Amino acid sequence: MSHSTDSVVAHHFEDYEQQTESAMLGMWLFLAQEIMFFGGLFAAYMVYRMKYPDAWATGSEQLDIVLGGFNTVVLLLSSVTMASSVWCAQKGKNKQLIWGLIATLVLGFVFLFVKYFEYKSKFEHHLVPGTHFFFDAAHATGPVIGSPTQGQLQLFFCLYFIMTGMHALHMIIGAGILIWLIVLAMRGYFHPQRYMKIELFGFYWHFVDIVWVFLFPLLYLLHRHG
Amino acid sequence: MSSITLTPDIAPAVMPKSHYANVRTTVMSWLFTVDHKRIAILYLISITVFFAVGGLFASLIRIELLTPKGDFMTGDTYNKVFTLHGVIMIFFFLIPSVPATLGNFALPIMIGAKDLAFPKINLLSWWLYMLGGVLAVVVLLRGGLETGWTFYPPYSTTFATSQVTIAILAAFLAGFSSIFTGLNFIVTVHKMRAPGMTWFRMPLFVWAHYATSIIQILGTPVVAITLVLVAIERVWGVGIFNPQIGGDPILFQHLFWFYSHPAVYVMILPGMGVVSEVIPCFSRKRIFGYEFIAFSSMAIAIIGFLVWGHHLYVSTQSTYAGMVFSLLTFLVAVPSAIKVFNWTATMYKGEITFEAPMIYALGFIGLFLVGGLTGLVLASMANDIHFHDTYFVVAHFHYVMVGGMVMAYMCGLHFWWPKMTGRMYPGLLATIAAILVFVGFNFTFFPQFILGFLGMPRRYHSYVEEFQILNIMSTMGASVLGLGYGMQPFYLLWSLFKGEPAGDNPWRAKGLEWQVPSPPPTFNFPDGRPVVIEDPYAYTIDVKEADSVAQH
Amino acid sequence: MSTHSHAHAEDHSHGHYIVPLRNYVINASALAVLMFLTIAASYVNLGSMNAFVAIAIAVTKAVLIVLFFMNTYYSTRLTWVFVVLSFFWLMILFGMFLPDYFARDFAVQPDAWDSAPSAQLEVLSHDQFPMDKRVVEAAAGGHGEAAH
Repeated sequence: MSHSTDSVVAHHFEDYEQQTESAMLGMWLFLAQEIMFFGGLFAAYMVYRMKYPDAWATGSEQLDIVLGGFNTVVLLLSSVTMASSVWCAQKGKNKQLIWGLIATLVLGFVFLFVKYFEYKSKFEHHLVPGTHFFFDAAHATGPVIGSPTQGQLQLFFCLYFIMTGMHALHMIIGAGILIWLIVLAMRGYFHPQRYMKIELFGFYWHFVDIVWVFLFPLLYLLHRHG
Repeated sequence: MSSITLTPDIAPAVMPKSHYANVRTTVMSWLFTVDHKRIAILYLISITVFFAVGGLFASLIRIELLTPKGDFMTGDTYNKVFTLHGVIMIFFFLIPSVPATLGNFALPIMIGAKDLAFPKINLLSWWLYMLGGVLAVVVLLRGGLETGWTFYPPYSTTFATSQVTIAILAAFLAGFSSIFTGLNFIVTVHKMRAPGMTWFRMPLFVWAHYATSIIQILGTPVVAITLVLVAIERVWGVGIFNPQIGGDPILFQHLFWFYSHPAVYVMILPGMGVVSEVIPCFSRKRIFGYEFIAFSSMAIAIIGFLVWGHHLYVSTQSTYAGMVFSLLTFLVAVPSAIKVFNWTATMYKGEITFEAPMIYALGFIGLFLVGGLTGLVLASMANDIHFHDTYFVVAHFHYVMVGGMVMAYMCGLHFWWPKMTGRMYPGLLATIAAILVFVGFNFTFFPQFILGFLGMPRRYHSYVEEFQILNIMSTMGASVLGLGYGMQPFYLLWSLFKGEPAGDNPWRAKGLEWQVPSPPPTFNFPDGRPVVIEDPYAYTIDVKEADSVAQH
Repeated sequence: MSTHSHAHAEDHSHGHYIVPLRNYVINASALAVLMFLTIAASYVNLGSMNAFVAIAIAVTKAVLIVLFFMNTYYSTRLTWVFVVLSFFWLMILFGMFLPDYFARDFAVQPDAWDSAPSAQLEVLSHDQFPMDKRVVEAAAGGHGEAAH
């Protein structure tokens, strides 16, 4: 706790407070950018859901709600470990900080691992869009609602893969940054006046969680009431 | 620090011994600099190169259109030439032009900061831009791109045979460069202002950049994801815009124009900011209606987001949606008109002098006015059915982008050149170039209004014979325009070595950037953080009578 | 700075409020409850309300995450402004975008209001547009590329 704030203020800032507030604002602007980035995908989702409700209901029924629900819990837990890591960094508890970050990383990998199995199962059922796409109603993993065409179902799975894929890509990038942060923490880089990197990364991680909070009901829970 | 001297320097000005550009001189010290002024110079050099490349393609277009038949190049080649002209000019020149060069250089000094809030992100944004630029060159070398700069599917996803994916990646990287510049500006304006620099003491240039940055942050990511979707559809052959499986190509147009229409305001708003600085300086008068200009910048940024549907009038968009978009498009003309009115009112009874920046600024007002008013013609749905995809549209957006933004960029470049380099360019040559640009521009693009009115469609390499006279006129005008642009590198580079030292404030301008040495030292303010007690437009009509006719 | 204002004044470490660990646990429990609520609700047939309920719960969860995991609740007013702005802009994208799809099939002709939305348009041939014809011919006279 002996660190003074002067040592962490960059040359072009006047004081510590200006620096931290600038960093927070900058991160939020980056997240605003991210919100709009995913917003384009959600807009496309809404349009096609409106146009092809049968295909959307059928497609949603093919997704594995157990794995999806499990992943939701995993992400929620990783959000808790991340928030706790920020708290550890603020309090200068370096050892707990390292363990908090490692727990977050492990949970992130668990999510990606489960996602991999989901993708694999879709591949085996020929539900990956492309020339091999074929929705076989007789051997489908879920009921068929209405009379969707192969093309419309392919649209659903296009959006499913692009949306979850873009989310997973953000998780992978986040995992990369997490590893960097763990290395920094192990070197004793963080102290109660220098934890901004942790806090800002926390913002990013929670944002990725928010995206999943919307993806889960929009993709998995569309037509569970039969 | 902030007492402002009204008398020009009596002793001949000398260059400061040490300034931002000569503290370190190795190539690495430039490529990895985090000084906003050096990054601005990096941008200046790179966008000038891309402007030249884009200009080369423009001249190829004009040479082809000299004759009605496709004598000079085939239709395919022509498609590639106009596409590359568009892609390079929009993504690699117009969008970064004023914000990344002049904004990067002047904005932190104008608000009394040592640097932008995130100097490393600023450098990152230049590197992203260069990476995108290199990819654009790769596209060019590997056979070009023929989709038009708009990348409309299903042509771009299914039928185009050229380098669409690489071009998309280039645009994507340039987009993120633009996002990071915007992010930096917003945080800088919020958090880095000097004591006394209240929101309503900020120069209008800063307000304009603030408004621009909001568009960059909230609009650009939408086009980024949309282009990613096109790339996915092209690479894997599946995607969400494919009408064969029930996809909707119009969806692409919606998402694309959600950014690309506001992008027009990314291109024009900083230009308006430049003109708002130059007009009061060379009229020796306080800007008229400061708050109205500031808020009209914000209004343009916000309303600009609500008008994109006017690009889709003839694309099977619902007519009722079109009506709403049409109404909103008319609304966006109001803040633009407020600005033009206020600039004109600023000049009224001012002591106007016609140095090169002022000539560009006056040219801007006139040309932007024509561009804006023809925009209203296109905004009404019935007219647009006739004018859509004709040369009327081409002329309209060139009046806004070239007549507006390029003029404003030249204006700002000539205004801040003595501050950036410490040396003055030859005034007479600059004035001649400015007049050539103005005259050449009008001769190039006014005939295109008539051509479009008569029904000449855009994006064809051949046309019917009766359009030839007007096309020849346009090409001749383009030659004059090219001559005007071509003069500038010569006298500007000459001035770097042989120009008179400009002194701190050659234009007797107000504002913080004119109170620091030219060129400024690395951290901008040699005497420490300035304290601002005055607004940036405290001009007085006559220097000799000084304060007796002051503004209050 | 002038925009500096905290929702809570106590326990500052250089202008930064440290949220107690307990709050994160409470927030996570609330989110877990909401998660089970949204799964449960999706198995009940609420008709068109299903989508609405799902979105409403998702929005609530997002708000909780933004406020109490990302600590927006304790941050400056400026942060609030930008948080609200970014979500508001998303609503602008959706709000200006969907009306086209709602209204796409509306007929324009007054007499077609009552009948089907597919009003037949008379298809005009090239001969009725002499200008078009000559453009095609001019192109064919060139290298013939634009005529395709």
